[in-house]
Amino acid sequence: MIRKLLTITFFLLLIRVGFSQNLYTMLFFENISLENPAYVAIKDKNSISCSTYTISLPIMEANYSNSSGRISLNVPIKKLSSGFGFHTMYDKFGHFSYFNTGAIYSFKYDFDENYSLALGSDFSVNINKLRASRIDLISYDEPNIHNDIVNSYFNVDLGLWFKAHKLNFGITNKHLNHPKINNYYGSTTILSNINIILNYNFRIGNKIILKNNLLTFDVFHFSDYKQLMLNNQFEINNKFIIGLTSELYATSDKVVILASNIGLNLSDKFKFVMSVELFQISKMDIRRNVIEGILTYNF
Amino acid sequence: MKIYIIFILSIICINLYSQSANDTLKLKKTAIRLHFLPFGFSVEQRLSKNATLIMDLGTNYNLTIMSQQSIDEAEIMLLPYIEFEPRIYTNFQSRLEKGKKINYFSGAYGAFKAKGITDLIFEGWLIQTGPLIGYQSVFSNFFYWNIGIGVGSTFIEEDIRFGIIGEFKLGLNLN
Repeated sequence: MIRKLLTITFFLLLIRVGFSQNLYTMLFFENISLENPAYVAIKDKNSISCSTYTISLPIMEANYSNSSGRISLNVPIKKLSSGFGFHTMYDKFGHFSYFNTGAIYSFKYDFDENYSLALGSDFSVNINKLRASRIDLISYDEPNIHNDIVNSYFNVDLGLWFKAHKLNFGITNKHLNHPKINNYYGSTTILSNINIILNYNFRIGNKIILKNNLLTFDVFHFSDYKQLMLNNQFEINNKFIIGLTSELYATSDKVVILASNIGLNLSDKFKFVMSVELFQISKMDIRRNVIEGILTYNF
Repeated sequence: MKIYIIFILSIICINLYSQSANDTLKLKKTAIRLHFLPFGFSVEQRLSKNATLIMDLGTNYNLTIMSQQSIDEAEIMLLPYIEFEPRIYTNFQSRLEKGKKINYFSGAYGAFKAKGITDLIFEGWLIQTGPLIGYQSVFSNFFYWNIGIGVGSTFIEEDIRFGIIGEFKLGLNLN
C-alpha cells in the first residue's frame, strides 16, 4: 500500500514539477509572455495579471490539494520597439515548495503594418525547497529528513515571435542553459525543449470573435514530456468569454483532458477568465480536479 | 505582500492620473450600507470620479453538520471579518449615456480585496487578498446587491493557498 502511495505521489509530483518549471496551464493563451518571452514586445497594452492554479487529488481516502499563484507584469514600449516583463510565482505541493521570479526583455522589428518579428529572452531564478517539518506521506519507509533541503538554479528561455496579419506564430527554446536541480531524490538536469504556439483569431458576424490557440511541447523530442493544448474560445460582444481547452499527453499513458473556459471583459481594462477541468481519459485510474483563474488589468 | 501593495497603489495612481477636470458625474460621496447576506455594515467612500474604497465589518456564518452515533448535530459558526476593498468602476459614463442609474455606485468594477477573518471558537485567523471583478446594483433605491469573482491568496496562519475568490452581498442602503 505504501509503495502504491509513493508511486502515485511520485507521478503527481512529476506532473506538478512539470507545471512548476514550465508553467503549462489550461489558460496559457491569457498570458503568452510566460510561454514565449518575445510576445511582450508585440503586445498593444501594458498589463498586470494574477493567476492561480488549484489541483485536488483523492489519494486513498484523503483528499490532497495543491495550489500555486503567479503575478506577471508586461510593459511594451513602442518608442524603443521593445518589451519588458517581470513575473513571480509560488507553488506548494505538500512538503515541496517552488518559487520562481524572472525578468523578460524582447525586441521587435516591424516589416510593415502587418508583419512583425520579435526576439525575447526570460531570465529567472528558481528555488525548490523540501520542508522537513511538512513531510508526511513519505515518512513511513524513507530515511528521516531533519533539515530543509533548498536548491536554487538559474534558467534562461529564448523565444521568437512572428506576426503576419491575424496569424501569430511563436517558437520557444525553454531551459536553454540546461539547469541542474539537486534534491532529495538526487540530481536532475532540466532538458531543453522546444515549444510552439499558434494563434489565429477571426470574426463571426459583428459581435463574435473566435480565438484559436495551439500550444505544443517538446516538438523535437528533446525530453520525454510531450504535450499539446488546443484552445477555442468565443468572445461575444467583446464582453463574454466561453470556450474549451483540450489537453493531450502523448506519452505511453496517453492522457486526454478537456476543460471549459468562461470569462468576462470589463471595458478592455479588466479581464477575468477561469478554467474548470470537465473530464479526462487516462489509462491510469487517477482522478483530479483542477480549477484555474486569471485576472488581467490592462493599462 | 509588497507586490500586492504596489498593485493597489499603481491601480489607484493610474486612475487618479486619468481624471478629467470636468467631472460631470453626480455620485454620492459616501454610501452607507447594512447587508444581511452576510451580516455586516459597510461604507463605500468615493476617492475620485471612478474610484472608491469600501470598508466592511461583518460576520460570515458557517453551517457544520456532524453525525455522532446516528444523531446529526448542526452548528452555526460565526466568523467575524474586516475587509478593505479599493474599486475602479469601468462603466459609469456608458451607464449614464444609456440612461441607467449610477447612484449608490451601481456598475461594473475591478477591485482588490483584503479581508481578515477570525474564528472565535478555535481562535484561528486567515487573511484573504487578491484582485477581482464584480458588479453592484441598486433596486428600489433601497436595496442593493453585489457580486464579485477573482483570484487570490489565503493566508491561514503559517500556510498559504491560492485559488478563486468571490463574494456575494445583499442588503440595504442607509443614506
